[in-house]
Amino acid sequence: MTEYFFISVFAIVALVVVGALLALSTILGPRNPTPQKLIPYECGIIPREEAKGRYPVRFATIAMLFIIFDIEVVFMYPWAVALDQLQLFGLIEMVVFIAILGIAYVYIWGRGGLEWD
Amino acid sequence: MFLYAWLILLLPLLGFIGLSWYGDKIPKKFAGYLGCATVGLSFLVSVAALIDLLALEADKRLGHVATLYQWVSSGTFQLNLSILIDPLSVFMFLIVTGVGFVIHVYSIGYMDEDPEFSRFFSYLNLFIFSMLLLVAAADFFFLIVGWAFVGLASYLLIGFWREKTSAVLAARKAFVMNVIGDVGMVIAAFVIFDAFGSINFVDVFAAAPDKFRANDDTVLLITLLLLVGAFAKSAQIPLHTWLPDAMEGPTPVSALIHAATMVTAGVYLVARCHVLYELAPYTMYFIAATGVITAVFAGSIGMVQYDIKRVIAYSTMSQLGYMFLAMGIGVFSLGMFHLMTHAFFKALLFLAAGSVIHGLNGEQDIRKMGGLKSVMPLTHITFLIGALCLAGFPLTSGFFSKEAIILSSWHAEMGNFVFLGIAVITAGMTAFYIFRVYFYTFIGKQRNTDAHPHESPFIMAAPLLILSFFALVMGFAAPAVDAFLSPVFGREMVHYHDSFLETIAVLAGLGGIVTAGLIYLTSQDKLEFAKQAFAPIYDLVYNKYYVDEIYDFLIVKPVRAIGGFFEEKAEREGIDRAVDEVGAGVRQVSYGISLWQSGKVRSYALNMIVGVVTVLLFVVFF
Amino acid sequence: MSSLINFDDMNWIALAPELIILVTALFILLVGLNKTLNNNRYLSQASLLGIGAALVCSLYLWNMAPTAASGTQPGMFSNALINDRFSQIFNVIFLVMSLFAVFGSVRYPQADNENKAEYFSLVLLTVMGMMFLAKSGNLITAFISLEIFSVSLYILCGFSAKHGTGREIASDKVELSWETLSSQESTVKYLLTGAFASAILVYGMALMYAGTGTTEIRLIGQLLRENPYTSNLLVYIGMGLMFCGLAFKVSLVPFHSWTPDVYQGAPTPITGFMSVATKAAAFAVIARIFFIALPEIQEIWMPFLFGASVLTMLVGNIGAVFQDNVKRMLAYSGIAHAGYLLIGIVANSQEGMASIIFYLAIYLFMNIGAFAVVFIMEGEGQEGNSINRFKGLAKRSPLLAAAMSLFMVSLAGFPPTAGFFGKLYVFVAAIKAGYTLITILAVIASVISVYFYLRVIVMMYFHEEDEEIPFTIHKGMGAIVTVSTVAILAFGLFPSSLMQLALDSIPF
Repeated sequence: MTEYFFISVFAIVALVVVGALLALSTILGPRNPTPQKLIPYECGIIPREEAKGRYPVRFATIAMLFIIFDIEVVFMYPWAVALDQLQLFGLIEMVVFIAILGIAYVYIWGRGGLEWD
Repeated sequence: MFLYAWLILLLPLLGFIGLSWYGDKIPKKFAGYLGCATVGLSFLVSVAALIDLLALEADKRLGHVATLYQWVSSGTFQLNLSILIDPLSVFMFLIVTGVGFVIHVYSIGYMDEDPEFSRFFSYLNLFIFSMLLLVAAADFFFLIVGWAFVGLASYLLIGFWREKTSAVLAARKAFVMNVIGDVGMVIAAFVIFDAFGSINFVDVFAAAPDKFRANDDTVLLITLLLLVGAFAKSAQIPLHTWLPDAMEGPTPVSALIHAATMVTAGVYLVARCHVLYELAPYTMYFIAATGVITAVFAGSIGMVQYDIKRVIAYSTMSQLGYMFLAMGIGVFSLGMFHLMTHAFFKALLFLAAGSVIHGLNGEQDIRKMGGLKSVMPLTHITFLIGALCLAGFPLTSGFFSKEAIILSSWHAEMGNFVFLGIAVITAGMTAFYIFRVYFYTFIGKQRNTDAHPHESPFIMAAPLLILSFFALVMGFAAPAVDAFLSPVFGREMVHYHDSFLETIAVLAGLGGIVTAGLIYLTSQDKLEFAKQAFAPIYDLVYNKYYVDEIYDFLIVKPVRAIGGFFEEKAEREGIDRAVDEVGAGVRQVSYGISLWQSGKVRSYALNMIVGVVTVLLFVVFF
Repeated sequence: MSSLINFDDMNWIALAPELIILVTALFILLVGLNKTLNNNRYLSQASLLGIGAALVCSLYLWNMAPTAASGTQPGMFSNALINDRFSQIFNVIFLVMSLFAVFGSVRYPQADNENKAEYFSLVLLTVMGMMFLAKSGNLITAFISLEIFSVSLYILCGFSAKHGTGREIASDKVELSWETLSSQESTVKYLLTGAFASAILVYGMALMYAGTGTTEIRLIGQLLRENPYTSNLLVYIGMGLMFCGLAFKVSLVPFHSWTPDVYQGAPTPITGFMSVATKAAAFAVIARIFFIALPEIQEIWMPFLFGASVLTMLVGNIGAVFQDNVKRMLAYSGIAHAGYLLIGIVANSQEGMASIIFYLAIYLFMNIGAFAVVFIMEGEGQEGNSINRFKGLAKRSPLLAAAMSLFMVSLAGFPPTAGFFGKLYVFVAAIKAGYTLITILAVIASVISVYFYLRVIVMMYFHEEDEEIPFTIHKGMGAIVTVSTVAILAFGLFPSSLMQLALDSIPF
């Protein structure tokens, strides 16, 4: 339990310090908010529209597809390291895994998920 | 050996199925005959069962279980498709199928012009089947099934004229009240299963005396829960309000269900479970008290009603009160005997009243009747017989059964002065209100000259005659009934002889008749007559009229006030309101749940958080 | 480090139904790319083929599965999965339910929906997830399979929305139909609350691991039995959180709020499918966890299961009283039935488990039948499922009305329908375990339910129709109604045989 003790001491100290600093600055600092002051600061230029712009939903589609395949590939690293112990069975398993991913890939391609227009 | 007794149940069931599927396709007459035939055959089979039972020695007549097949078997829980044949169930078979058959025949005439003739008969057959299932049940399960089914059949029949809003409302009310009773029964069955490990009558009743001492908590709980069902079905206070409203149904239905058979189911239940009730004297006392209070309560309301069917309906409640009184003071076979005689004369009264209504084209208000004696002689004489029986006129069947109960209410072990007093007063009231109806309806002049009353056809008259015969003579069958039923209740009935009390009871009845006669015979008709014939001595007549005023002031006004008070305060505002409140409460909560269902995901998440926190609190702190 | 993989208990044959369904699902996904084959007719036939094969396999495997008597080991794949009759009988339940969704494809997905194949594929993947869930012997497998079926269902709920392929431009204002809007609402609500519940569930599993040092369900039970130090606060909290997560799936109060909204908005075939299948799947895993892993600490979980059960029955039944939309009404009714089912868990006995299986099997037929009738009677728009559409049905289609009455009566639990015996067995199990109070409360709750079930019957038989409402009885739905009717009557007359089957199938 001792390591938990130190960790908890650290956590408590961190919380107290952060909390104290925030509290002090709010209590002590003079505040006089005006509409002008509340505008986000953009190099002195007065903002004309919302900073959050809209972009097409297919951007998100592509991003999601990328992430899915990306993470699946990451899964292969530990497999590759342990392949000598996993032997033939491990190889077959990975082939099945890639085959399923392949089906998904074919499907996405066929559906036009990779096309921009 | 009694496997053939299943036919008693199956015949009406087949009738119901056949009529509801093919009712529209077969000729109308044939549908009626088919409906009657199934019940008639069922009656014949019941008679065969009776003969077989009588052939056995008295102590071997009990506990014959006819099992078709084993329905459910899981570990210790078993459920057989079986019926119980013993004197009590055969006794009920005979009443249900016998009176039922007569009423079926009557209905052919009464419902003649109804466009949905075959639907009516299919419902009637359904009712007979359910009632037979109820009395034939060999365990609490089928008892409850039959119990629920008669409720359903009653619902369908009360609301038979579905375009009539009042009928539909009455049907719904009856259904709700009966469901309350069903819940009590179901819970009772659970408690019984919990306590005995079985819901079989034979097992439970055999085990009960060894398992529990008198007034044990469990037995009290079971008996009281069963009573909820019994009171709801038999219209005892406080679950009685549906019965008068149920008169919205066709009159044969009132005769069959709300006089002769279904409403007596509660009495039957107490008789069937008498082993349990004998272990619970407190409950018995409660039954007797409720019975006697209902008797006087309903009797007093009956005295001020103008609807001919409502009077008889309150009278039914009142007579059921007598039966429960008999049950409560432990004279079970007397209660069953009164059940039987009541079935005859009350069915007779209803059918005769139906004949009147039929003759007057649907008029039910007794103030608009009168002078039917000469127009409808047969109806008149049969109604008079029924009224005499109900009033307990000496040597009619009602005399034997009611007299015996009144005597027992004092002499029996649990009897006391209060029971006796109220029973006697009620006897007087009974005679009064039924003869009030009689005088209003049949004696004097016709009040409504627009109507053209006519005697009913033979097919309606014949049942009246049959029932009159039984209502008159069945009183003499008392010893036979007693001997037949005594093995069930395990003892012979003690017959009390007390000429003083007998005289009082008879006098109460006669007094009621005479009072009714004095009030209702000497009024308007004679007044009119006197006005014309003896114009000079008008003053005298006026004085005569004055007597009426005094009567009115001394008797009618108070009675009306009391009856009105009961009806207004106790029924409308008390019980009806309570029932409505429960319904409204459920609706209110339901509405609250709809509001809680706000449609906002964040409030759903809040619900879940509340749930999680509650569960965690339980887990951590308990 | 040489024996990392245990080849001995890899019972691939026992996985045959799951594999068949998986292959079918993937096959359909690829076939859907072909424009000519992407039609409801072809796709549903392919799905039916797969479901049929899986059904046959499951029935065969039920017979072969190890039982307590045969002495063989039920665990396989290092106890990640369990091959017993319990899982196989649940397979049958899921597969039969999926038939409903497939038959419902005559109307959903709609003709202009380009993603027809996905519908079938997702239904099959949902079924596969559920099948794995019922089989799972390890909390991790349980969680993964639960997520597989949940995620698939989230998408399916939104399926009556017309699916674009991303071609419309953001500024296009398309007037959306009521179906589309409510379906989208349904899917979003289900996703958000579902994700929340999954988080709670997985946290509970983690704490369970922290408390016992294992995620294997049987091992947890063994540890709790043998090692008193195992029953510590972490286990209790983990158990509580797991219960909350699973309670969401079976919609116990207060985790039920999503149910009416989601059921109403989702396409009817999916509503019908998920109403029974989700419940069955979650109850399978609840039964495994509480009956196999946690029976020793019964006194800890009994109070809140008891409370949840009572609350659920009451809220479900009372909430349904006011509903004019039949789908919403059935949603509340489903909540109430979850409460009844939970009584079987509370009983914590072999009989209780068997009664749950029995009840689910019965509930399947009642509910699938009722939803089939709802599907047949369904109309357009917000009033499409109004109870008023049932007015006067008895005149126009006596058989359909009679069947619907039977389903309603059975749901209300009238004897001698099968629904009555479902309740009866649950109650008897509870009474035997000494919980008479809960059965009494259950009876009171079911009396309330009589009101709204009978209301449908009253509408059909005692009201005249306002206007002529056309409807067609599709072949598949007709078959479902017929089969359900026969099943309810048959199980009502001969419940013992089904109960014997259920008793043979309790988990071990």
